[in-house]
Parts: sequence; structure tokens; C-alpha cells
Amino acid sequence: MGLLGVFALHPVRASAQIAAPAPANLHLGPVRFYADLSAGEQTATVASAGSGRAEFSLDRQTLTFSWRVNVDKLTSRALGVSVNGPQRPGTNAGVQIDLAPRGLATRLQGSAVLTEAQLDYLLAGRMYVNVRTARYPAGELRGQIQRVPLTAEQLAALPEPAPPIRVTSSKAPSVAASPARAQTARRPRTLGYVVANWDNAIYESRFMDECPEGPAIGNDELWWRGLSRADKDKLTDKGLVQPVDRRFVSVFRGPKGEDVCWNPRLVKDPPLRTVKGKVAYGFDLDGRSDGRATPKSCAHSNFVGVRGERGVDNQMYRLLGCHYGWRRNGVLDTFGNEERRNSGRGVILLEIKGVTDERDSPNVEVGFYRATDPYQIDSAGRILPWASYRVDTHDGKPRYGAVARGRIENGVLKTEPLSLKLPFYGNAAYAELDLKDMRLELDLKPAKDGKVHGLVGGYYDFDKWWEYMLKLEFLIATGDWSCPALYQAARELADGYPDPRTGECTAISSAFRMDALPAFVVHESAETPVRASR
Amino acid sequence: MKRFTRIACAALGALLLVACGSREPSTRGGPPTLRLLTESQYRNVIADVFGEHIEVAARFDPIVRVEGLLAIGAGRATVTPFGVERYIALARSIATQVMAEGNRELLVSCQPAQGATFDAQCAERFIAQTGRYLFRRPLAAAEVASFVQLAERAAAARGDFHAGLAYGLQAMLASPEFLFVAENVVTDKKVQPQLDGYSRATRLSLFLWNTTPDEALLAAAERGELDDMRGIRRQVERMMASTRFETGVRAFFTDMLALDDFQTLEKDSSLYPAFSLAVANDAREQVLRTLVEMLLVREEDYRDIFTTRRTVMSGPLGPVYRVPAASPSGGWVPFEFPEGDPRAGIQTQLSFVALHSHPGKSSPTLRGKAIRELLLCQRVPDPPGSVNFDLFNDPNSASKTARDRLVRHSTDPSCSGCHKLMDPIGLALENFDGAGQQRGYENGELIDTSGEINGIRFTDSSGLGSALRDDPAVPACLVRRAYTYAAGRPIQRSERKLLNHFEDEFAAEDFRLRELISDIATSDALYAVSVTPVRTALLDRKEPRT
Repeated sequence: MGLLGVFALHPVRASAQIAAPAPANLHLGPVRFYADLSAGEQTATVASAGSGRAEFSLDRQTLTFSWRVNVDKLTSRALGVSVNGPQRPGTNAGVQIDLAPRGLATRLQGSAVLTEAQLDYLLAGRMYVNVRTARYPAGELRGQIQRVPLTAEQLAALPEPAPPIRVTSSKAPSVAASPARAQTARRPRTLGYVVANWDNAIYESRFMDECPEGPAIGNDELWWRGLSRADKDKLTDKGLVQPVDRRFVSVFRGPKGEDVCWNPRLVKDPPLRTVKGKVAYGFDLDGRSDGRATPKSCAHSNFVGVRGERGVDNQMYRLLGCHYGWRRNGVLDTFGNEERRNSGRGVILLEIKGVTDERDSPNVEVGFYRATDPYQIDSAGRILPWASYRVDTHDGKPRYGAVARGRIENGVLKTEPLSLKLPFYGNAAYAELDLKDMRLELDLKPAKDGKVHGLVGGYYDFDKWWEYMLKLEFLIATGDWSCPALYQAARELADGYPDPRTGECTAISSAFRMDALPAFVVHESAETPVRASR
Repeated sequence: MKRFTRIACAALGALLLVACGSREPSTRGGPPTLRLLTESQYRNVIADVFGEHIEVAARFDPIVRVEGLLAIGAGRATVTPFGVERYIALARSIATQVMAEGNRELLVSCQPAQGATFDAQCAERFIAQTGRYLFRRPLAAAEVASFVQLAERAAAARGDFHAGLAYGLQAMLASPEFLFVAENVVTDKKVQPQLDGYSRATRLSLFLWNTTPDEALLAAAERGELDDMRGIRRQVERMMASTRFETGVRAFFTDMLALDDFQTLEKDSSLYPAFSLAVANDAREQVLRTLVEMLLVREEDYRDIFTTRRTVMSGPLGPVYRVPAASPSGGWVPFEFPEGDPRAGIQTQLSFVALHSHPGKSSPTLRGKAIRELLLCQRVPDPPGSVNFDLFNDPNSASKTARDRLVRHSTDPSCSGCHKLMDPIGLALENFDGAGQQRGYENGELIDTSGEINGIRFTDSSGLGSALRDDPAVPACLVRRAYTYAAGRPIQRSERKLLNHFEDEFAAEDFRLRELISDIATSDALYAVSVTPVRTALLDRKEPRT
């Protein structure tokens, strides 16, 4: 008989629906409920002078629901006492908890652990106590379960309500923190995500405010300007073809016909039109807002962040922001994401460990990994949430990636800086994403599309970045950019990690907008079997 | 001392009675069957006789399910003229592949003599050997001669021995002797009519392996070893110890659980984007693997199929179940749901909740009906022709949950009689949407999964599972299905006590599936047949003068 191969998974979150906050109000003690029982509460007409009271206590940590029930003056022998729900108008609900599992008595005591659904029903006020008797088998006494109001002392001991959460992504709406509810302690959990989209964080408002000189001039235009009239006639004697078809000729505009992307210093293009606007996405990477040089940065201009924060370092935006290809209607990042989705290459995983509360966890560990599995795609071509991805591992360790310390505040994950290298894939090109002082800010509350949105910032290693740009040469016409101008400007704008010998900065401050979907991050090891953790 | 002796003797007697088991009640049996090979049996036979690399590219006409099984429906199947054409075309395709270079060296055990003369000896050898497996019995000399003659004529026309032999093979594959399993009866005035050895071999092979008898089984039939129970037991033990037994068990549950319905399953991709063809295929495989692991490998109590939290997962299923599922080879991984999880029991797997739902929503009625009919063998009457589904299907209805929409089923007397059988079961599974994905709310309303079955109340699907587990109809249904599957026909009235006997044995054996199958396969009843005498007087009647 063929037995199945087995291996273990690290504990991963199995459901996104469970989002209860940590029991921050444990000092207030258990939550108390009560129900006054009478015949008048029944839906049918019952002639009974019976009465009773049920008192309940709910442990915030364990969800243990304890009860004491007294009934008196029933018309006949009791058949059962139960908590029923969820109540719907005009009908009787089903039994949720049998309050007399060991038999009936005038005074009943017991306890049970509530399920998530029962807790919801209870807090929504949709549970009631029902006492059934021989004369009234559907129910003789009934009483709605209500919460005992907090005392004045308990009210005084409540913390201030949490402020509304501001999300960093412009796509997601602002939400307020949900009110406190019966709280449960949860063991630290692990959240997993797969990065769905990764774009250069280009701030766009009014184009002419950002790029008063106009759009950056692409290679095709510069090549055309350098041609003689005779050359122009010759090249167009069969008619003018599109820039994308002309690029096979246009990149070879070095003095001896060299490819100017691979030899960007051979020609002197007009200076690149760079962003002159004041606002950008990003982080303060060098700890200064005056733009002065530091031991790990070169002098440069700062931006103001989208939330008004000062000292934002994002020279990459300054470099790319006036290019059609990298803006919203351009195709470079769009192509890159689409191609990554369809090819399944360059899949990046995020793993957040040690989460005790998805709104506030002071000490978490954030892992960035490369996946060996491609995306799982639905019938509409979208990436499926909750797929499983194996971490690319070699000799029992992840081949790529790093682990950062972080914290979750008001539902937003923020990581400490770290150096990150991950193989990046986009537009049919592999490159190494080499970010120094990388930090991530990720809003863990999913948007309507189910994705979580975030911002990544750091100093992108210049050589690694240019290597990727060279591989995008085939899109030089589609993206309408020029290698010599871009290279020259990038050298001037680079602001991170000066070379000790030359003083020239070797990295460019950058920011990327990313979104991700919930996923299971699988670390392979030889244990059995898989158990879901909730 | 005397009292002690009496007690000791009584205890010894009881022990002997238990050790020996209750005796199988005698039964007259049922009629011998004439059954069309099912699609899976056809494919298995071709793979077993010629190899898995021989492609069987065809669509098979569906067989109507009778008394819950296609295995019984196969006994009432008809083949349309178009169906005959398809079988002939398929036979040609298979024969051509078998005789192609690269295959014939393996599959034709003799090399034809060189020269213009047709090598009839080689052709005879191939026809006789292959025909024995295809027809599930040795061919008569006249049959062999007929196919060889056909092959010779074709070889002459085509100028090639193997091309000619392909025609002979094609004729065998298109023959009713291959396509239909016809059982032969041996009558002896001294004993009850019985199936002959080859028919017994075929019943055993279709039951335990879902394919044609292998060489060892055919040889046992030829030697007369299957005419008594010792010989049958030897073969049953051999076949149940084989890895092929799993194939047979999978085929049985595929039939019993109506998993062939997956072939026509459709889901609204806009509502359930995660549900794809890969998910449907894996959902079908998941329940079969769950049952095989549980009932054959771990040999657990059959009733625990309603409460087991152990299953297997694959990559496509992971997002639907929202659980991790990645294996090094991209295949299946064992999985266990945690204690208290609503996903306990096969009734919560996609093979139930997704298969028995509408394309765009869940269906408590379909799910309840499926459990009643497939697992409890309780027939639910068809709805009356005048039933109005508009109330349930009204998208503008104020009712937010299925329970609210179905309240009419429980209050309208014309509906409640049948729906009280189905809806309480199905409503307990409402935490799973039409694609089998777990949910707590429907249209913003919390879903109530409480209910009652057989007087047992429950609050969710795992409670339903516990209630079903203890229903005596569960093991009784398996016994009924397994016996009729093996026999290939419905239960006869005289066999009711026989079923009770099998149920008692099943219980005594802690509801282990292997034991049940062994009991059935080694029962006298399985090979007993009752034959209605042909009224020969009609044959001798003289034709009236005209």
C-alpha cells in the first residue's frame, strides 16, 4: 500500500477570520451575564407562575462559561434547561448549551467552553435561557441573557479607547479600532503573506508640479536628434516605424555604434529631467531632515512624506518620477507584476512570527524569503489567497532572505532596519534586490481586495540596480527612457553608503509600494504530520 | 462444585459460539447477471492486459444508477447504435496501438514466421492467450478459429501479419463477450444452481480489483478450485493482500459516494474563484485517499468516517480549505484538523459539501439528501411536480440565510414530510459555502448550524458527525451497498436475513471494512444463483397453419 510522504510545517495561521484582540482588560475580571426567567418571555402562551434566575460568568482568557440557575414554582416536572440561540424573530432557536448535562435539579451549576460562534451570539444578545417542562415541552420559562453592567470602579479602570487607525496606503479607507469585547488570550501566532505586487513608489499629484520641465526624454528621441538628414531619410524611406521597432537601431548610438546602455558614459545626453516636487513616499533613512551628509549618506535633498513627515529619502523617485514608463499609466512595473504572476518566478514571502495581537504586538520577527512554488492563480487570473508556498531552502536553511525585528502598532507592522537580499524577477529579468537599511511598514488590515498594503524603503545597491536596468533595455522604447541620461543622473543622485576610497555614494535611497495576500509559508523538515493551528 | 461446573460449561459454550461466529443463513441467491463493463473496468482491463501506456481515448455512455450503484445499473445498461460505433472505433485504436512496433514485441508472445504464408499458429496462440483475459474464460476452438480466420483475411489484404492480427484483436474487443460480463450457471439436481468457476472468478475480480481476473485466478477456476470455499478463501486472501485491492476499494467508494458526479460539477467562477478543475479533481481524490488510509491502512472503525479529523491535502485544495498544503514533490500531504474543528468527517469535505451544492450557493437540501441516500441508504422521494422554487431562489428575498429561506419546508405540510429528512442534516453544514469554503456568516447574518437527528441534538457539523456515527443505518447501508456491488444486482427478498447476518458480523468485527469485504467475498450467498426454468414447451409448439 502506497503511503504518503510526510514532512512538517512550522505553525502557520490557518484562518484570517479570527482577529480577536489580546485580553488587555484582564484586570477587570470575568464578564458577567444574567437572565431573569419568566413565562412571559415565551413565544407561545404559557400559564405559569414560575420564575427563576440564571447567572453566568465568562472567563476572558479561556472562554469558560460558568452558570448557576435557580427555578421555582414550575407547573410540572422539568425536562431540560438550556441556553438557546441565535434568536430570530418569531421562532425558537436551537440548543447551544445544555445547562443540566448531569440531570435536573432546582439549583443547577456547571461550565462549558464557548465556541467562537457561541461567543458571537452571546455578545450580540441573541442567546436566551429556556426551561422546558412536561406541561410545556417547548418551554415554560425563558429569559434573554444580558450583560451585567460594569461598576463605576470598573469603568474608571478601563483604558482610553484606541485612536482611529490611519493606514499608509491611499487605497484603503481609514478605520477606527473596534470596541473592546470579551477577550481571549492567544498563543503567539505566525502570519504568512505572499507579495502580489511590487512597484516603485512614485508619488503622483499634478504632473507639472512634480516635473515642471516635462517628461523625461527617451532614448528614441535622443537618437533621432543625433541623426543627419540623410540618415533620417534613409531610415524612413519605407515609412516611419514605431519606437519599439526602432530601438534595435537606436540603442546603438555610441560613437562607433556601441550599445549606449552597456556603455552609458560614451555619450553625453542632455541632463535627465528629474522630479522637482516636494512630496514623496518613503522613509527617513539617514536620520536627518536637512539633507547633509552623514557617515553613511551623501548630501542630497529631502522630501516631505505623504503624511507630512520630514526627512524622507527617496532619490529613486527623483530619478524615475518624470518617466512615463514608471508612472501610473506606464507599463514597466505593471508588466513586471503581470509577468511575475504568470511565470511564478521571483515570488517573495513574508512571515511574521510572535504575533499575540494583530493590532498590537510589541515584539515580532519578520522573515523575507524566496518561494520555490509559483503563484496559485484563480480562473480570473488573480493570485489566490491562502495558497501554500515552500521557502527556497538549501542545507536546511533559507537560501535567500533575512529576518528583521519589528512591532505592530495599531494594526501596522513596522520593522527595524536590516540588509535584505532577495532574487527579484520582473519583465523577464532576474536581479538581486539588494536593500541596505531596509524597513517595512505594512498595514495588516486587509483592503476590500483582501490584500494588505505596505511600503518598503532602503538604500538600493547601485550596481545591482543598474544590472536590472540593463536587463530592461528591451523596454527602453516602451518605457521611454534613456540609459546614458539615467545612468548619469543616478550617479549624481545616489545618496547612500559612500565608497571610502572615492567618496561616491554606492546606493540610492528608494521606496517601493507592495501589496500581499495571506498565504502559508512552508519550511520543510522531516517530521509528520501537518496540523492546522488556529 | 456442580454449580461451578455448570457455569464453566455455559461459559465454554458461549466462548465457542463467539469463536465460531453466527452461521450464514442459506439463501436462494439471485439471478445471474449480464452487466456492461463500466468505464473504469474497461480502462483497467486494457491497462492490465496490454499495459498502461495503451491509450484509451473515448467517451463512454453514462450508466444509470440503480439502487444507489452504477454496478447494479450496469446490469440494465443498453448500448445504442452510436455506442456500438464508439466501441468499434475504440477497439480499432487499441488494436492498432498493440500491434504497433515497439508494443507488439512485448505483447505478442510469438514471432510470425517469415514469408508470404500467414502464420496461423502464432495468430492462434495470441488470440487464445489474449482472448482468455478479455473474455474472462478460455475461448472455444471455434471462437479462436473465427478470429484467426478474420486475421488471415485482413493480413492478406494488408500484406502484413500484424496488421491482420490487429483486426482479430479488434473483433475481440468489440465483441459482446468482452463488453458484457455474462455469468454462467452450473446446474446439478443435487445442489442449488451455482455460478461456474469463471463466473466466480469474474465476480471476485470485479469486486476486489475492479478488473478482469488475473492469471492466478483464471488458473484456479480452470482447476476447479473456486468450486469450493477453501479455494475461494485462498484467492480472496491473495487478492486482498495485493496492492490492487486498494484499486477495488477506491472503485467501490467511487460508486457508493457517486463521485462520478464530479465530471459534471460546475461552480460559478466569479463567486468561487478558488474552485477550479484541479480543485474538483483533488477533492474527489481527497475523499478516496482519506477512506483508504483510514479503512485499509489504519483499519479504523468505519463509522468514524463521520468524525475523523485526519485527511490529506494538496496544493489546489489548500486555499479552499485555508490550510497549509505544500509537499516537496507538489503532491499530497497528510493533514489533521485540530480538536473541535468543524471540519471533522467526510461529510465536511469538498466531496460532499461542494459536490452537493448549486453552482453559486450551498444547498442544505441536496447535502441532506446525499447523506440520507448515499450513506444511510434511505431513499428520499422526489419533489412533487408542482413545487415552486421561486421563494428559495428569490435574490430579493429578505431572508438572509438558507435556514430562513427554507423555513417554508418545515412549515408547509406538503414539503415538511420529506424535507424534515434532509434539511436538518444539510443546515448543520451551512458553515460551508457552495464551494466548500468555511464561513461564519451569510449575507451578514450569523449562521445557525444547530439541529437534531434521531433525537440527538447538535450545534455544529462535528456534532452532526457524532450523531451520524451512532446511527445504526450507517453500517447497515455499507453492508447493503458492498453486497449488491459484489453481486452486481439488487437485494432479493430472500436475502434480508443474509444482510442481517453480515451486519452482525460487521459489528462483531468492530466495523472493519476489510473483514466485511472478506465475509462477503467468502460467503456462499455471493455465488448462489436462482434460475427461472425456461418454458421449453413454447419452443416445441408447432407453428399454426396459414
